[in-house]
Amino acid sequence: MLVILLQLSSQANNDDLKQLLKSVYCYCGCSRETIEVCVCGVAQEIEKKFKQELALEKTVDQIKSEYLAQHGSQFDAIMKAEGFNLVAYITPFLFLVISGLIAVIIIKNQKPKEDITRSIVSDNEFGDLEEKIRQYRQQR
Amino acid sequence: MIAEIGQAAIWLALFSCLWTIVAIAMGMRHHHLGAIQSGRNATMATFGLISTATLALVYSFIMDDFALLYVYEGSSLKQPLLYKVTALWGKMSGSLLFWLWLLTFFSVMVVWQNQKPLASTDNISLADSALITLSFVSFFFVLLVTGLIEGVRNPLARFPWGVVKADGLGMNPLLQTPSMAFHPPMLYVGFVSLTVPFAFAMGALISGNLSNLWLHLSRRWTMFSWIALTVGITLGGNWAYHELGWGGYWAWDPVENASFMPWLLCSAYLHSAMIQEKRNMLKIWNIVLVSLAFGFTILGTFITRSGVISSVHAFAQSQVGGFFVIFLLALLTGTVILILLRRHQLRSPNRLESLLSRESAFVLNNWILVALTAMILFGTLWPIISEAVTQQKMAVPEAYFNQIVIIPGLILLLLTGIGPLISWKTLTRSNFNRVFAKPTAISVIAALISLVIFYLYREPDTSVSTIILSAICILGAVFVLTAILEEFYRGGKLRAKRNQIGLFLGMIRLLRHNKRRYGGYLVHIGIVILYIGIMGSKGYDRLTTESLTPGQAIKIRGYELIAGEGFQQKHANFDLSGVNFTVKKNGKVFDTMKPARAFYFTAGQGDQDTIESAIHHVGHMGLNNLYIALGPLPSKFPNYTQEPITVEVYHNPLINLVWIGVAVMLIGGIIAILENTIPTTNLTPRGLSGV
Repeated sequence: MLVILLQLSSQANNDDLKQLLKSVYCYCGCSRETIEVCVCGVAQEIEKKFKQELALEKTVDQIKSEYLAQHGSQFDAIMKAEGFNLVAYITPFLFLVISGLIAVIIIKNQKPKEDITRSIVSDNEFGDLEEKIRQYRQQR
Repeated sequence: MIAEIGQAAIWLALFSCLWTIVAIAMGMRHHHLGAIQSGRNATMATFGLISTATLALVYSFIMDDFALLYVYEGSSLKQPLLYKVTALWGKMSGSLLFWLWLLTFFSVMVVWQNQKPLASTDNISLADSALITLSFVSFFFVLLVTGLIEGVRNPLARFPWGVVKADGLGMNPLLQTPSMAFHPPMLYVGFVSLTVPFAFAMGALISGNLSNLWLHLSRRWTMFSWIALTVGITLGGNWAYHELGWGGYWAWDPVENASFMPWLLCSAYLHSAMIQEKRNMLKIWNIVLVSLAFGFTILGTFITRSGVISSVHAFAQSQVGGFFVIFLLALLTGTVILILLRRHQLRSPNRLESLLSRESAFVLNNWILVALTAMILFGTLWPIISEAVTQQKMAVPEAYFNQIVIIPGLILLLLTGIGPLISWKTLTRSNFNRVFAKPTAISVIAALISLVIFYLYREPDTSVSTIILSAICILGAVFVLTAILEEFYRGGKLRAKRNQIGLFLGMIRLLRHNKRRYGGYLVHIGIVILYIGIMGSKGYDRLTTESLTPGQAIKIRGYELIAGEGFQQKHANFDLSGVNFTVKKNGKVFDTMKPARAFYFTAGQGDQDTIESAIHHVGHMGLNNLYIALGPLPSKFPNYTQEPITVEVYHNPLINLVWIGVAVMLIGGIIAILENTIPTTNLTPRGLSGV
């Protein structure tokens, strides 16, 4: 029973660690690399520290908050779609939709006004007219 | 002495740039041929002067002249010759000098390409008007490298008090790779050459010659920029993949975005220019697009140099941002004023006739490309926006960009197939049946099959959205491929029949006789291959990390990589330390891989090391990659029996299709650029109205 409990606890710790490693950037200078991906010495030290803190039963959120408080919010690798961040998620799609609408309006407005002759002259009549013009040209 | 000659040349170039602007502007206004010729000569002189300065700096690097501050910071005695030369663009002021040299070289090319003997005012060409803009931009860069502007030193400046250092600090080790010798210059070539189409557009506005001539004269330049940017961006991705050790090639870093945005705008312009050529429409839009594409090259430089946004490219930052902003604003104001002054002449006589026409498809293509640019710019600037509002500088993760670009990206893929096949003016039923029915049916079937396959063979952590998006990607890819291949087949068959030759020869002739169109189709095929590569490598990549001692193994997707002995090698300016890995599949050994870390020991860089990842091509046709990166090595290395090494192994499916796709795009681009679209008549403007 104890063995099973220990195994479960270790599995939970591993999952927490993975979650942590993916959630923050390394501050070594590779600004776009999470601790999970970064292979520098700094990242290794951070990973060790996270392991120790998890063993002390700190939560993932606690450890992450402390890390960001120490190094700065720019090392947060997860941009949750909440609060002011919603603006970051919504605005690009607004760009897409609004510019799309503008493009469609431009195309529609560029369409020539309906040709009056087409609405009152049938295709047969139009053909007859063309034939008459052709004959007229031949006569000239 | 050489450095002083170079410095003097830079100062003289300041005056020759001004001379070009004044002489040509006055010559055009007063129809004075002598003044115009003098302006042309001044352009040549500027090139000569900047070449002198550039050569002086390269010579100083080669001769290890550590009396120069720039040489001291960017080179060292043990630095290989190749990297002594490439150190020219390794830091801020040298890269600006190199930029300037390219700009003056392209200005001379413009003069040579378009110069006519000045027998009469009729031979004052549009290129002369373009020289005004080119020289204005050159003047800005000359001003930067003189050292007058705070934040940029003159690259040929000496240490004060005659100090001469015994050795230099050396170039950043990350930059000491062959791809870094080519990636920055290719990007610079792409960025700088975009100045030429912009200059032609401004030339047209200044001279009042608003026919399509500027478009014809600048088409090859734009294609050239597009090709150079494509090569530059890809080399950068390849460098990141090999050197940064995170198993990827694109992370939406601000500087990557800064190079990608002009590429998107350049692609948009290449499409919309066709509408102006064929239908004499979108005249203002084309000028706006080409101006935006150029403006974004300057914006990109601002992002790279100012340090306002943190980036992996923080090799050359300074306080120069403000000056770039002023320059950008000056360009923007000038362009807007010129467009407003010429707005009546820029009105298009024709109208779009249907939403279902090639013109409309190209407008929609422009919509996606420009919207994508705006979206990426917004994401890139988000750290600044968030800081301004919340006082917290937020980083924008790679996942954010992947999320926002995926929908427009897939729409763009579909338009890649639709645009070239739809007829001009309006889509008739016969046109639809002829070109669209078959590709639509085949692509829908392929998408459904792929959906089933992706679902059946999914891994536990594969999300449903990944599967659905992959199927949509397959739908778009098969649609474009079928449509284009059918076009090739139909055209080739016709040629073959007409000339009594085989189908293959017929297709070759087709390509030879309409290089622009079929070269463009090849570019689209390349884009499809690239999309499939991105789908595989970004959607289905896998990372496994373990700490290993000799004899231990790491497993990933059926491959077993067993850590072996450590090794050490000595090189001219670095030591290489790594581990031999034996790679097994189904219990059979099939190769070894040697990931390593390089320790650079030049003065001032004692503790800097780089990751030399090992990459092995596996899977069907070697399209997938096994990728190993080593963590920090223990103190007693090559013995690591007591202290394990952290090893990261990636399996990147279809990643080689990314490089193959780009190669096909480049072949298509090169074929398309070979077609000369400049009309043989009416090369001179109808008159010089001035502004």
